[in-house]
Amino acid sequence: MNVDQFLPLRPVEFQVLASLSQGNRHGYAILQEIEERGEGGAVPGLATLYRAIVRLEKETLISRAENGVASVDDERRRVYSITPLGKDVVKAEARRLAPMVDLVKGATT
Amino acid sequence: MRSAHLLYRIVLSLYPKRFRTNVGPELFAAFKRGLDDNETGRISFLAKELGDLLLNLPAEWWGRRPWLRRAQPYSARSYQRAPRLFPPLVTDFRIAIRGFLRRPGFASAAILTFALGIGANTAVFALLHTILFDPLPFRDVDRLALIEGNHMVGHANEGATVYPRMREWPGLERAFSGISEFGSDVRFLLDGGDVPERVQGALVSANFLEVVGVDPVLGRGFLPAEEGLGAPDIVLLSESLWRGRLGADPNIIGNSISIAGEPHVVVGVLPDHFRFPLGSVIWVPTEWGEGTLRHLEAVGRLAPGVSLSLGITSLRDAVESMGGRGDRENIGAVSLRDWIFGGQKAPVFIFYTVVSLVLAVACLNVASLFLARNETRRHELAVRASLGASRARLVREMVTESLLLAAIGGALGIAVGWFGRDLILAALPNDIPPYFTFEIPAHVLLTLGSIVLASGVFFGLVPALAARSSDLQGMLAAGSRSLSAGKPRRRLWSSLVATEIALALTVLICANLLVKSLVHQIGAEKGFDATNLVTVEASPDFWGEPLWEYYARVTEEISATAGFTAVGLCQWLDTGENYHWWSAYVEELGEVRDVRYQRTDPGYFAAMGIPLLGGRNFNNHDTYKSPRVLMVNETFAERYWPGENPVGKRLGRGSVPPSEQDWHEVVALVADVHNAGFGRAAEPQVYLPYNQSGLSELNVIARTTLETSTALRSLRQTIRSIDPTVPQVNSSTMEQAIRQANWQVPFATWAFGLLSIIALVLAATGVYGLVTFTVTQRSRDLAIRVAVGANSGVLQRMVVRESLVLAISGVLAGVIVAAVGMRLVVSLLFLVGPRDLTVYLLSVAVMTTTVVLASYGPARRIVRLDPMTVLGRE
Repeated sequence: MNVDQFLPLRPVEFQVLASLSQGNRHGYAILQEIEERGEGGAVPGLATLYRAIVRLEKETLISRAENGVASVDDERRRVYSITPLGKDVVKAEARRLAPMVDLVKGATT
Repeated sequence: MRSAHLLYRIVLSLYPKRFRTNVGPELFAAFKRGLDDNETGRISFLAKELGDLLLNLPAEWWGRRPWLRRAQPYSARSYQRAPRLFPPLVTDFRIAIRGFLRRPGFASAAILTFALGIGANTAVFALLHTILFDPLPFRDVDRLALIEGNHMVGHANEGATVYPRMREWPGLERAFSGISEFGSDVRFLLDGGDVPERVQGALVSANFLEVVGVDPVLGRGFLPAEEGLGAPDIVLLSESLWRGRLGADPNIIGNSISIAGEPHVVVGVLPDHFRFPLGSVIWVPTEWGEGTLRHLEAVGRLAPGVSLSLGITSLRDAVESMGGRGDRENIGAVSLRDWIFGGQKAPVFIFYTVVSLVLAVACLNVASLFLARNETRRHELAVRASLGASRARLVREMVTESLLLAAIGGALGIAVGWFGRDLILAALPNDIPPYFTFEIPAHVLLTLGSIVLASGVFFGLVPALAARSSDLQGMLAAGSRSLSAGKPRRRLWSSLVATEIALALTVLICANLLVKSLVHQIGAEKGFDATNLVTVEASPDFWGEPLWEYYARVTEEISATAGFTAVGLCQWLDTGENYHWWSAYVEELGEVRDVRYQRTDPGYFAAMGIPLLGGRNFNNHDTYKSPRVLMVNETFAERYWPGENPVGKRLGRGSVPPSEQDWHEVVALVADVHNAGFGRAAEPQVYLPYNQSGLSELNVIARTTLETSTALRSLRQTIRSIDPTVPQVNSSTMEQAIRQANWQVPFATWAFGLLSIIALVLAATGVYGLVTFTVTQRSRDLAIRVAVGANSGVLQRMVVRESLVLAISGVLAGVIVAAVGMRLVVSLLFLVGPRDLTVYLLSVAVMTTTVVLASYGPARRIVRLDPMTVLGRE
């Protein structure tokens, strides 16, 4: 599978994949993780997030986790996991961005 | 909290279904949790998330789908349905248009109905609106009142008003925010340029434009200092005068024009449709000082919250407080609208009613068309419903369809109305005053537009909702062509068409009554012989002896010209009702009577063919130096001196007995002219010799044996040869002048006639549609009958008979409505009763024939019915 055809990712897609590469999460947890990690800046809205989840799922970059329901308090909350393809894609995107990030870092420090 | 949830849910519900079923509950749960977690910043969280949801909405519907772009290998797996490139509304429109193309008959019938109904209404509305409302180009016209004082003697001089300026009267400032006095019906002589001309104008106080609320097109109005004694020679012109006589000179402001030899500086140009008072095209400031003798005429703007009756009371109180106790009842005010339209309120109301009736017929027609359409589509709908099309979807489609038809038809209708208006105008004779513009006002278009849209939604929605889905399933099971299936709907449809017939008949009766009344009016008794009369107004600008000599020469020269058998002079032409009033103080009664009057020369009566019934004619010795004389008509004599010889009796002018030398002696009795409108009973009238007044504008009337255009040329030439500086205006035959003065009546008749024809056509379409449908619906039944040997002629008659029954019920209802409703039209009718039998019979006959003809066409299809084909279809 050629990962390049998925690049470049949208920022929200990158964030979702990055978050899920740390472990399986449900949608709201992804958001919370992004919030914690980020510096208060680019936190996507819920609708944006879920549209991204739907897209990524269609593209089989993520999938629903086998155990399905994450918690007893809300059975509608599904847990997502990153697929091997998704891992490849998010790594490729990171590699693609790295030189640019370095460049900007070098310029600003 | 609750409302935040609800709001989010509502927006979420707008998302495509596949998105909602996929992640909708999750998304909503996440939203709820987020709302709980952000207890402090709930509002900003809600705002952010709602905004995000809304911003993503269009992208989710129409956005470029990334998986379409790149993820080809997965597309088949991802979505079972191919992604739709168009949102559902556009799809609906496409389906609707495809449907129209498949059944062009239905679509064109519906569009045509809308176009005819709306178009006719637009055109007629534009025409009648102009006549009825255009002469009111005033700001906030309902606050304007016309103030008039009759027989006001004031507190000083006898026989004339010497009150101070009205706006200085005590206590009026509370009732009126502005009062402008004017002197109307003044003729101005424009003598600059080659051809001298007399135009209608008015003297107005400086605040005139402010009070009536009209802004000049060019320049300015009068300033407060520019009135009263020693006012500068300045004028305001109407746009038509400026464009016509002055060639639209862009530098007109500040330049002068010559009025009766005196240069007057033009300070402003007023819009053309503003011709107040009495068709004025030129306005000059009043030169009245304290207590100038004048007739009291003014236009007042009522202060906010002040009623007309309160305004009248304060006028009367003011007169009384100035010492004019006897004048209290002689001053009054009417709303300007009433003053301009007089008794035309009823026509306005009738006109609106008739227009709405025609619109109602059009709407009923569309309703029945849609009913038919759904009837024929029931099978299709049933199939689609059983295949899983949701009811909402079917309803939406039908509404889209009807809206589309209404929109196309409405747009076409407005276009038809627009061109129709021009067509009507082109077809009309040139008798219409040129300043009527026949614009279709924006609010009319708006109203018609919303009616179209509303009826579109209504006619789409009602039949769609009426078609219950269980019904549809039943239909599918039963087969679409069973005899009984359409029955209840056919009954509904029949009653719609019967209502149409009733309404159309009402309109038809109304129009026919008006036509008959017009015919009467054309042939009505005038009291004189209008044929072979030519006339021109010659109005010199000199007075006294030279003027009388001039007119004496005019009559002499014309009498001496070949082709003229009689010639006379009069102040105004008898073109219908004589609106000129004279206050006659009748000696025997000791009271004043308002009667009509005319000023003439001795030759007038012979030229007009009005017989003198006793006494002597005027003669050239009746001048301002000799005792005052007059003539009275028969009605005057009968009413005020019944059974007595009027000759030798005396009348005064004004409300009090005149001084001895001002009595007018009656010298003759003349036959009646129909001075209250041709054909109507004559009213009292007096005739005065023109040379006992300071009059200088007279109409020359000549009876001729020549062909009219030759006679007119000869008449004008003769007058010009006497003095080329004398302006001649309004040269025409007497019959033309009468037509021009009475143009509204045939015009309104024409408009109503057009409406009735359209109503008739619409009703016929309705009947046609119904019968076509019946025949199609019952083709199986009919085919069986044909197969077993029924005569197709008999079947045909059966179908026609059915629509005849329909016609009769509609006609009966229509006659009843008309018999009750036509009482409203009485004021418009002339020598025709509102229940004129011949009109009713004729209208009923026309209606019934139309129905039979309309049903005969589709009934003929029975003849062509081939049983094998019809039954084979089943």
